[in-house]
Amino acid sequence: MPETPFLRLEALSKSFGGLQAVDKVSFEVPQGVTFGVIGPNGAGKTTLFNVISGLYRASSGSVWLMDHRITALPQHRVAALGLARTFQNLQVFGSMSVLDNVLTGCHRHGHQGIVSALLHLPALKREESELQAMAHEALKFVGLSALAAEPAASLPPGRQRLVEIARALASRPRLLLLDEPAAGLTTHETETLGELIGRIGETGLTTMLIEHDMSLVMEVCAQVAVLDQGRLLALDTPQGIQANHHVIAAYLGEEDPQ
Amino acid sequence: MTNRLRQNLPFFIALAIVVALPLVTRSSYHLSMAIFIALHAMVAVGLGLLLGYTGQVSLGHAAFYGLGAYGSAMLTLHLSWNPWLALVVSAAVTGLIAYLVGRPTLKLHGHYLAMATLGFGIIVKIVFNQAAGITGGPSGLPGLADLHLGPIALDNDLRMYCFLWPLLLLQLLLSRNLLESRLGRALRAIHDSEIAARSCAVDTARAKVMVFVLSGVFASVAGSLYAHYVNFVNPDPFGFPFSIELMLMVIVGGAATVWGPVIGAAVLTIISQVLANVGQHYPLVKDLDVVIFGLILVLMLLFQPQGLARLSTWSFRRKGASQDA
Repeated sequence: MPETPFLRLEALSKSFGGLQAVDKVSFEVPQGVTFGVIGPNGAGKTTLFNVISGLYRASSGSVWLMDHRITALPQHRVAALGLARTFQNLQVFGSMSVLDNVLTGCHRHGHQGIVSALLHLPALKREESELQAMAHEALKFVGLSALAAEPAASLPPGRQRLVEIARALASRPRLLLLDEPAAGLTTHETETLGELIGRIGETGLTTMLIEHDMSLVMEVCAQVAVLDQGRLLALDTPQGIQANHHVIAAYLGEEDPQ
Repeated sequence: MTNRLRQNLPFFIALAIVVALPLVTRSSYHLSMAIFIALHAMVAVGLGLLLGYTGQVSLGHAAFYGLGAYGSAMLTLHLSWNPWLALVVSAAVTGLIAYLVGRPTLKLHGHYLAMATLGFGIIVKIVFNQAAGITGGPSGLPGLADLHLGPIALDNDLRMYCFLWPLLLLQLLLSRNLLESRLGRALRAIHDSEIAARSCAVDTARAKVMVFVLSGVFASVAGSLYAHYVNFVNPDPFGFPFSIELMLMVIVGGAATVWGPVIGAAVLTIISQVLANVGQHYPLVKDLDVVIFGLILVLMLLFQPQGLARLSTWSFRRKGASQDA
């Protein structure tokens, strides 16, 4: 494990009016680990992802990605640093082909400007073939190569989820955030997804995973953070979490101490 | 490949008509109508990049067209500049103005650009009318010289036609190149989901400003060419109604293809001209154009929302649609 933590949250808070959605959350995610984030509905999990990825601005506290303080950066700058994510409610580019979706994921690796694009200069063609190679690699990894030319909107939700994951992977990220990737999937699709997340973990990519499917979390995550009402309730291995009575109380309701 | 050919069939038909037209007719009426279609198409194709591909509404593109026209008129008439230099400088200045209008508004979400460009278009028209010292006021500036391509003067309709249509084709080629690049994908991504585009490291505000400026520059170049063709500028053609007509060209032609707005420009320009002709005999018809344009818009949105450019794939699409349902 490296000296400086890979991702570090310092007393991170986000409030909407009077609602404290994320409340002074601090933890560290080590490099190369698949890290689960669980908690009851409304615990602030997605808000936490939105603050980390720059979609929301933190009310206070900091997020550090290696030695970059990313808290104050706009979303596209955070993404340019190598933070990729998927969305709980699908956000594929519906009018574009599957391949173009994934190619858009490679955006941060391109540098050719508008003049080069208008004239299709040789430098742009070279860059384009590099991006194409990256996109096809990502499509192959998630198993969508055969559907590359299909319009993304024509795919069923399970496949659209894979498009989002391929789009995120194509950016060759440092950190991948998966926001409830199993939501709306069939049992069979969830199994395939678990296997895919396992393979992503094997590549050494640091991954954070929000998920309600506990067996999936227990299977793929090395560490799990539990949020409840915006606060960090526990941080442990999956086995430790399953034995933690605070966590059980948060999920099942508090038992009277007597 | 056949699929691609089929999708672009109307384009090739249009191209054949364009090539054949001067062989069939030398009537100045027909050629000049075709020239206006080309000029309007240049503006509409640029607007298509902004409206169709990026999903941003501009209600002031007539003003950019006007800035190009007035820029060329003022620089060549008052300062005796070379017309081509005047065209380039006008386009650069118009691009800068588009940047200044787009930069603050495109950072915001929602339809602020539509509001800002609406106001901008009205202001520009007021300036054309009021700054009579340099713009000639409501009566405009007459006496622009014809353009010259080396030794060849573009002094008749046929020559202008043979210059403008290949130029439009070049613009279509450049636009297609842009759309099939990383930046083009970024624009289409913005149209579909801005949040997801930003999560792919797309600087959405910058990309939107870029395409807005580009469409402003296209409009300005078309405006300069217009001014040298009719040898005269006045404020009337550059008002809000023409901005709406330009939007209609994009919608009628279809934003799903680069060349769709050319079809739209042809349809709208011909209808406008026919109405104007009939209106000379029956004044009532003259005011009907707004009604007819509104009707076209409603019919298009109801029956062919993807535009006329997609008519060839219609039966094919209908089959696909029933599968979805």
